[in-house]
Amino acid sequence: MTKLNKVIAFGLLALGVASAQTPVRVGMAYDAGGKFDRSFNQSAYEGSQRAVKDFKVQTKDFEPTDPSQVVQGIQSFAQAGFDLTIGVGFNNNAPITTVAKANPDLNFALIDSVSEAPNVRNLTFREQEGSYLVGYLAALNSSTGVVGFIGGMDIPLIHKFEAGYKAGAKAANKNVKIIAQYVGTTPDAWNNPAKGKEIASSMKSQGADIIYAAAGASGNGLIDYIKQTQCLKAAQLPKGVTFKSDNFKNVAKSASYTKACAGNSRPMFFIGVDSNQNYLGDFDKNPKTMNHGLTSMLKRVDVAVYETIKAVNAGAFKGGTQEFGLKDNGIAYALDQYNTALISKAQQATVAKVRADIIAGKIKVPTDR
Amino acid sequence: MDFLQNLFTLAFLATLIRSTAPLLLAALGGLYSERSGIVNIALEGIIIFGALAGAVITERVEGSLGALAPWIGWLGGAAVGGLVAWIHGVISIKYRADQIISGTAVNLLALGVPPVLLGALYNSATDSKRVENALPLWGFGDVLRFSPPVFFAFLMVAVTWYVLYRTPYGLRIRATGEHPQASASMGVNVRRVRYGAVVISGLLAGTAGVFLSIGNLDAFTRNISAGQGFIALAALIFGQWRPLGVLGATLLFGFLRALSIQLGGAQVLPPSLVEALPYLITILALVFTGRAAAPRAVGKPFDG
Repeated sequence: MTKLNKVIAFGLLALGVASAQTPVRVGMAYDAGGKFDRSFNQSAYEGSQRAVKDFKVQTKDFEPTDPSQVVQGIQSFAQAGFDLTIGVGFNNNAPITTVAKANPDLNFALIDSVSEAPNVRNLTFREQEGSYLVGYLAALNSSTGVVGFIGGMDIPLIHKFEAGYKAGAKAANKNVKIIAQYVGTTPDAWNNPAKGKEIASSMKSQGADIIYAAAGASGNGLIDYIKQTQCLKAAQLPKGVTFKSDNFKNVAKSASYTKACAGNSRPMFFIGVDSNQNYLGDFDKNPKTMNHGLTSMLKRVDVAVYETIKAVNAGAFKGGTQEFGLKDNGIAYALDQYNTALISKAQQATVAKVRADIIAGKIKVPTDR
Repeated sequence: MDFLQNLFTLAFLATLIRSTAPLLLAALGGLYSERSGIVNIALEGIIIFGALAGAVITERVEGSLGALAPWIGWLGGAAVGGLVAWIHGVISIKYRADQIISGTAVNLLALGVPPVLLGALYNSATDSKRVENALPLWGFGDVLRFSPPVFFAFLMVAVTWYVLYRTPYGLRIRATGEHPQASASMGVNVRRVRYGAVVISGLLAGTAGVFLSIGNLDAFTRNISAGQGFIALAALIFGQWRPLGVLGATLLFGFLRALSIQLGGAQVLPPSLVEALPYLITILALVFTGRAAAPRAVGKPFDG
């Protein structure tokens, strides 16, 4: 070994030692909704924060203000030598792929989309399965037999939610009417709560009492709308729609609800998405009275992010696609103190059976509408 | 017939009014500014600043003021709108810079400032913290209920008409926009009139922003105005720079927005076409109205 080689070898060794001592650094590139959208992005954020606590890794967040910045943000993570860069959302596919190809020695992860670069771990979900379950619950509990679906951007990823929701609702009640509408066709559709709110009001005027939003931060418009109206009154029903049931007759209600919704009326509910949004339906800050989040379709983005950071931290990162579904609890529906009063034990048992049938392959859930 | 009955419901009317109000406020703001001779393409940016200030101020003071907080937020949002417009005024009146460039600068600032401020206050680049006390809803029944800026917007149409055509101040605004030299020779302080008009345009556009953040929702979100400032400008041109014309034009655009929301779920037209309708009609409207009625001195700095 020549002297020069020795120096290089020693240098490399020193570098190796140095990098073993510095903590793993993780770059998080969020999409248009922003990391506090209380939904999809926030779930990823929470997963990364859990990893910070458990493994003492360092994270740095990047929230683009417009799509053209995304590639620069991801590039800057790579240039700074971040061990792992996670692109949150399908919009990050092209930038992650480009930067991953240029930096084959670094690790990348991509949520909701599949990249062709070998050093990218693709984290995808079978959202249709969870949407099927919440659609089933929506149809079981709807007082009018009309339920709504608000999608964010009109793209195949969200069609999976819509398809599963529709199939589940139809399976529970073949006469159910489902109104589906999308916020828009550009990435701004994830961040337009005002339009989400108007769509919700339009759906109510068509008789929908339970509405599921898979629309990122636009879904906050739906929640805000339900908070404002709380219930559907008999006089507001359009022609051809009547109250068919009242599953929530015996649920304790808040004073403001009883006051605003006196007479022949039925409560309205939203169904949350990605994160557990049930708590957002607790408008009077008292979980014991009726909350207006029927349930949430949980997409455990947090688990996927956490597991990926864990793998990198342990030096066990592998590229390729990992798909989460009902089977591995990467997809579920939320049941907690906020909605146990809304979903009866009998319904819980029915849905548990449906879930088992989906896992066993007895129920085939469509992925496109 | 059934289809039409389902389409034109009370909910549709409510959506129409909510979609019209911010456009109307911003367009009336633009009217003051442009009738005095200052092009205000900064409306979009002013709406964003107003929305941001309204939400942030409300969130900051509601701990001590409670239900009074959103009203302070409204005042604050309008004041910030006026301040931003005043900056646009200084650049284009005092320093006689190109008004389009100055307006564009304000619009660019409106993209850059919110993430910085939100990052400092709430550790997020996109959202402000939700306020507990948004502006109250007033109205009749369960559906036709609106926050106060909506009523304010429609009231301002009459006020603007009166100010513009029945007061000396309105005459001065119109005169400086048509022929600043002539009005200066009659002893009108052209610069002062223009400053006043530009600041009024900021107060109104700022109120449009306040409506979007705490009058319609309960927080500021990135890009909350989504181009409404530009649509308001189009409505101003379409409405021929007249208060009633502006009312008609903004009602038309509000109607189209409401229609695109109502039709979106009905599968009558492809959703992307419905989405594009308001913009399509805007272009057609501009083609057919032209700039014939524009104040003659609009966009020209006053050197006298």
